Amino acid sequence: MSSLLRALKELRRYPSAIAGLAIIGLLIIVSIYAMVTIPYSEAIRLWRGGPGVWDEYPRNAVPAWFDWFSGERLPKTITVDSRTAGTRTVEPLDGGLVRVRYTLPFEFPYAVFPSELSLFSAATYEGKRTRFTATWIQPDGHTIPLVSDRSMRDTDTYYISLDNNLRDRLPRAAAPEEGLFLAASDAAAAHPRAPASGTYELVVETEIPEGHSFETRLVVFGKAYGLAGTDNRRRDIMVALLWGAPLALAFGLFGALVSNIATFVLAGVGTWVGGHVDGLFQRLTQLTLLLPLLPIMVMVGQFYGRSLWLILGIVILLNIFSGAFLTYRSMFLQAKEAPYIEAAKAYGARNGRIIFRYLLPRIVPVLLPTFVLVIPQFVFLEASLAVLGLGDPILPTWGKLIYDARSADALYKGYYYWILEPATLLMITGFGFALVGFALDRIFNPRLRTM
Amino acid sequence: MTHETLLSVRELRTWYELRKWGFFRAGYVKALDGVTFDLKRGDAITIVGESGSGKTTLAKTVLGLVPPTQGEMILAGEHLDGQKRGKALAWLRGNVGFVQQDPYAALPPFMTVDRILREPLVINKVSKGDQDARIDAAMGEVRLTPQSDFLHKYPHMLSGGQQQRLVIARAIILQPQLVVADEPVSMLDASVRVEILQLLRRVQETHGLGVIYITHDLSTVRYFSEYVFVMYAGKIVEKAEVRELIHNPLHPYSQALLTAISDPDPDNADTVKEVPAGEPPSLAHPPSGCRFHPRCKHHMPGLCDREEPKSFEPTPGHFAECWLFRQGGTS
Repeated sequence: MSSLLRALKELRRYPSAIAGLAIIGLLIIVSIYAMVTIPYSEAIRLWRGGPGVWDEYPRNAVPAWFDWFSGERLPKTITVDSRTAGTRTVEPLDGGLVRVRYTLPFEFPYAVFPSELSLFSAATYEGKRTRFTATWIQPDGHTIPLVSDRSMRDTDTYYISLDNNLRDRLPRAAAPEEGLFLAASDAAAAHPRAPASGTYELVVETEIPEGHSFETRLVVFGKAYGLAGTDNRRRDIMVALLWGAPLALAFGLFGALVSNIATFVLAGVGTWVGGHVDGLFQRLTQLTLLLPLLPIMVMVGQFYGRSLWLILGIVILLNIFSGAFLTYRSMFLQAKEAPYIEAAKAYGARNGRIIFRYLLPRIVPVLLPTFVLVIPQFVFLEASLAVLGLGDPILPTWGKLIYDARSADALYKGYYYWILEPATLLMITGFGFALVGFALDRIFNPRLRTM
Repeated sequence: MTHETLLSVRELRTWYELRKWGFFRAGYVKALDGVTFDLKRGDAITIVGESGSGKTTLAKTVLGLVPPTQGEMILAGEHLDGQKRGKALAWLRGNVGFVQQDPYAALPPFMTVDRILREPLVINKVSKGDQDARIDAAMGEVRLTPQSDFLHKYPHMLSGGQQQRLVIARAIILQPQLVVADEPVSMLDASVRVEILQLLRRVQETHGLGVIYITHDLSTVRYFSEYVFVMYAGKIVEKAEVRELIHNPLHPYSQALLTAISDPDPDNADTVKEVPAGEPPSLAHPPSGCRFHPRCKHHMPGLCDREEPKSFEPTPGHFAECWLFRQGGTS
């Protein structure tokens, strides 16, 4: 054991190993951070999405730091909530009604149009329809009526960008998220079209029963969001990037350790016991080597389920009697026949002592690098299965992210970040483990040093 | 020195099973096929023979590393046969020492000298206080001194000769009655061979040990033992005292072996040595009758290839399993 610790200390002498350890350490920190800030069930809920989860996030927004490279300032999402901003006037009417008039001002400083406009509203009464009127006021005072006397439910969303009626009334029939930001003087000019910056105002007027409240929220969706951007379902990609780390590490570590240790122990038992047990294990290995992994995974996904942990279990099972079994077996055979083990038998050492004090100290150091190097293989395997659509349907993994991006034609549409972010993380993970594994290999198998 | 019998071996057979496809029995390799000899306490015997003659299997069988297929083995009055094998083995292991061929491979590379010598003591439950004294004594005996310089070294830090002395120290640390040395000097430099053999001889004489010295090299035999047994294809074909065998080899195979020794004599440059043609026979399918007959120049058709020769004693104390000596021999 002490020689193992000494060898691990020797890792410090390899800068590449330190870099690799730093990467692995960082991944572990990210994993812990992800699990602490977003609990497992919350991560699943967030990634499943649905009404109310991602409504106010922009669709297909690039990461905010793109600005540093493009030199452009892409708009961020602006939310103006009647509860916290603007002014309101309340005017009693006959018949137990009041007329409420909100003014929602916001500053728009960008030179790029926003991506969408929506007006969310919620009232405290139920089941009753009301009517509302909305007017858009540009910085220069030009007013554009959006809707008048539109019928609405107690909780409703007015998708301004989708209002074709409005589009037809805007100059040059521009999409509302563009037309509403074009200055009247500019509207006639064909090019270049740019939004007028300044303070805009939305005025909302509605009649509601007395004693109730009605709150409304204007969301001007940006084109850049957060550190990772968003996908076509408005989900923050960061959630999947963060949660992808613990899932990848868990899959990789668990898969590599369990399958490797099982293979190792079985190879050891097989060679030690020998005879029919060894023969059986060898036949099983030859059989498993012939089994095609992907078609089996496709069938399992089709008929049983695609839970990450089910996939992990099957991958481990199929990996126990794999090529590594033959490698380990040959090492055990070689070590078992070592003259010093024969000598130990001759002076009376029993099986347990020989295995733990003579065999393992010889073999474990040689295999440790392999253990480390196999981890990214499992990480990649999970990602590959996910990319092929065989991944866990509910968990946010890196492979799932790439799958989603591919099915949404992310590259064709220019959303490179959507694929590059998870792909980069996968590569960095593989790189980190490879650096450590190769350094360990050089320490434990010093003959490689000269090669 | 008492001359009672230490080790008695009768018709010992060790066969290895051959497998087909990992499951089915496909015959046996008869590595040891009916070996009989006695070893007196305080004596050393040498077993010579070419590769594949069964020398090492004999060593392993005597050490209890390989279970014998048939036959009888009695060490210091203890029967080591099938029935009570478990118990007898435990006793055997405290009473035999093993010196292997390749000293570096024989020492676990991840243990220090101290650990290597302590392991047999711990396993055989020698008290803690005794352990240090025994380690010190054994190292002194093989001249790994001063002991404190070596205790914390790993095998790769020692020279080949030192490694082999450590192996000898390990073999005698349990104070065995019998030491089996399987080609103990064949991997060493010529410069340390004699030294190691003399060391082994001195240790043997000090403790009155029985020693079985196994070698393929007849030229080292004269440094060592009282008796020489010649093995061929799993059988002992000739037994004699060292001088007697060297000056008067009887079995045609022994004669061939002796011819093959290279002496540093200038005349040898001009002589062509007559060495039997062919290779040692397959032990899975040994030739019928005398196993040497396909290579023997005295081959007598109808006899040698039909019937296995018995042990004849043409001169007292000199045995040969060869039909050439049937007239004057006892059967």
